[in-house]
Amino acid sequence: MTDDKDVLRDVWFGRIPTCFTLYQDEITEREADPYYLLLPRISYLTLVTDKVKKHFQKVMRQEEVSEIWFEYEGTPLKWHYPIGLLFDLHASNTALPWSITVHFKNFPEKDLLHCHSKDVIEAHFMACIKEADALKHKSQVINEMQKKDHKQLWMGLQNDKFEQFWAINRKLMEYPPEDNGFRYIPFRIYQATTERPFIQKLFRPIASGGQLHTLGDLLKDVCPSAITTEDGEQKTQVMIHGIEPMLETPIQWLSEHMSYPDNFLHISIIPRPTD
Amino acid sequence: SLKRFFHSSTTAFQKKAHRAQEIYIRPLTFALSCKRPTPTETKAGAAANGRRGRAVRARCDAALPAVDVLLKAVGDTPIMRTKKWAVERTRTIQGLVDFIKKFLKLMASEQLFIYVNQSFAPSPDQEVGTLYECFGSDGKLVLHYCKTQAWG
Repeated sequence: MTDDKDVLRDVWFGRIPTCFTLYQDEITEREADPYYLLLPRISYLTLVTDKVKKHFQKVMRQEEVSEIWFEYEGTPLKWHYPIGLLFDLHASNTALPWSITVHFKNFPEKDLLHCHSKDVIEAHFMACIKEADALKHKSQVINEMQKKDHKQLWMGLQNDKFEQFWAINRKLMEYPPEDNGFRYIPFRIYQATTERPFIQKLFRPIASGGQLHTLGDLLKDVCPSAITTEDGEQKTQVMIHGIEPMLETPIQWLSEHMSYPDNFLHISIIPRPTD
Repeated sequence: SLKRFFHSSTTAFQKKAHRAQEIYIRPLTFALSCKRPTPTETKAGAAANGRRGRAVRARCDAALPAVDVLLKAVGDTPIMRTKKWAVERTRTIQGLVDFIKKFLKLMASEQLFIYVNQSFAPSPDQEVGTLYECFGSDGKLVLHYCKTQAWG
């Protein structure tokens, strides 16, 4: 049996080959070559695309450059969602590399949050961790940590240091042995087919009878349309980190092993492709 | 009289709130009553009258798509005399921030931070209804607002 710890590494080091292309209407002084990058699934677009920005700014006049933003097939990509989630939700089952369009003009105020500096990403990331711990431990674990521990979580993510991050994050994954799990599971369910934002509710990892709640139990409870079947066939795919975990998987195990660094399980519900 | 004061100030607040924006945020009329219409007082409730439990509640939720939000100022941020508001479930944190800023006559360029549980700042696109479901207690969601970063 492989060690469950290996799963943490596999999740951390997941990469998506991506091709960035400049939007056709951006005014350039010469033609811009596409830029290829392996994007870490667990990170954020604006955190790992400094090189992309530099690459395209080289061919543009300074006055044409304002805040960078990204789009995939007409959908503006929210930098404050982890990259892996954006891919699972919008681009699963499409050919690689993932083709992202880069914009410097007409920032879509309605769809995207501004990201003027890395501090904004850090604040968002830490807020997510705190929200998750409010659900898991009534904020007790995160509040007992020191400022430098918080910084280490962020630096671990920013510099892609698995050990540095997990040295602290493992504390956020602990629970009293008599509880058998967290208080509530921090999860968000996103649906490709709706404009509505994510579903987030209170959900306990353990049923009142003591048995472990599964991924299937969670979906049945908060998003039943995700697992309804037609003619014995499930019409949707339930994706986390690019895979379809078995619906029988205990949700507590998923929360400990397949959460993003922000400590949330980001679950995408997408239409199952027809052959 | 005190009664008239309450009445007039409520009306003033309502007008102010109305002027401030077109969105659905209204003060709970504290002078008159703080409770929601009971199921029988609403159309949906009347239709569902006689049935108890989930069905009634669900219909009322549909008829009254609002949650009670208690807004508390932190530090030297101006307080709002009306603290308890009924806020549409689908209203975002950004929508609420815009409302408070207009209500307090803050400049658009001024920052306003909102905190849940005095611990984390939800992202601006998060919906009030979702936060209420996860972090509400005693039938209301308590949010702290502040002109400077208060927690983390």
